[in-house]
Amino acid sequence: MSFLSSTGFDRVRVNAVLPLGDVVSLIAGGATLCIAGHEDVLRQLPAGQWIGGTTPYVMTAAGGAKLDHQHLFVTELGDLGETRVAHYGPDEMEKITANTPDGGFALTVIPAGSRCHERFAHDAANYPQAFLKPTFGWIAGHDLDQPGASAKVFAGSGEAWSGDRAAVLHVALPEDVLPHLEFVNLFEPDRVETIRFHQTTFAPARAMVNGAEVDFADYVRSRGLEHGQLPLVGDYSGAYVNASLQEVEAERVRLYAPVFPGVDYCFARPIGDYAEAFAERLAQVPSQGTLFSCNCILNYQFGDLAGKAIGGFGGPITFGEIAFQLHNQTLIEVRLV
Amino acid sequence: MSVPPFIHPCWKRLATGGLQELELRNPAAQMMAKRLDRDQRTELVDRVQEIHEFFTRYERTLGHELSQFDRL
Repeated sequence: MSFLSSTGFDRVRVNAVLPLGDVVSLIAGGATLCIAGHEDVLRQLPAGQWIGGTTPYVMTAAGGAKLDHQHLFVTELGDLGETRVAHYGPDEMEKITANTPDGGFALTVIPAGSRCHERFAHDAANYPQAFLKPTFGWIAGHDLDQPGASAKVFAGSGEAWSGDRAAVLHVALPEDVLPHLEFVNLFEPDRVETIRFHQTTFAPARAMVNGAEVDFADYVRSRGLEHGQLPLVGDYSGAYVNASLQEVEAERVRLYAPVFPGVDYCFARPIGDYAEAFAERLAQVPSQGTLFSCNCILNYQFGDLAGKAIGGFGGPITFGEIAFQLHNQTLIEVRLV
Repeated sequence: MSVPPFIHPCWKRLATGGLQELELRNPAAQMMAKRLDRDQRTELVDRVQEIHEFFTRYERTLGHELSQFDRL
């Protein structure tokens, strides 16, 4: 078994690309895992204590890469405490938090474009105890070279897949261990104009820009930002939470995450070299106790991260990142402290 | 500073705008503060309880935030 990267809290855990056979062995040995890869490979996995989702894109210590059909990216959670695999439909997303043990957290994979994705994005921060029993994870996607493909998630078996349920690992933790979020968002507000929205939506048609009502699609075009590389950056009491542009249509702008009323947004300042910027930021983040990480497909694409290392980071490249709520174009790491 | 007891008046101040006046560095605290700021429907007692439970549970990671409580 080859360990392309690993992290440790009390012992070394697998956080690496592995051949299918090794992943089968880990599952058979009772390991608790979060797994990313192509759908046809995930479908071959046996029943066990694991969740997974489709994305063929990964970052390893050696750089960004696309998985083939014989390998998977595996994050082992190790012997933290009791874990339980579950899955929830769009009308029961609150159970992700409700069924997480006190003091624990939920690791969640949700299919991109599903009703679960939309519901979670709208409501997650309002679930009771959402900040006491955090939800981390990612949005599953598909191979961008196969435009017709759709995202799938898996809950405990290669046969238990869905395109519209959330796969969840409920994780209990020892009383003296805390899950801690490290948040690497390269984007900062450009402070050119402050943008506010009237309602929670993935597709805003109108906005207030410096207090004046505007057609938002026209506004984006007038700023020359319809290329979509720069996200909206929302100011959450000092934390920058992105909503990325999917498409600027004639009358509205489609986003990969919703915007919310009561949040001040700006467009982001451009970034030069993504790999260098990530490496610089990650050098300031403690690596001790890293349990789980993921980074956004838009950073991978726009930052041209294929083949480029970013400071030892390893994890799936995802179609949205989950840390209490949905994020875009953000690298998240969860550490145990 | 350790986490004040639930009966301390700081919790009510935090739940009625005081949280937004702190310099928050912890990402979870930042996102929770914005959620509470946007959500005016939650009863005061529930807001107080949520903030108190959060600071009690995550005390070890909230040193910077707790150090500002004496000015509330």
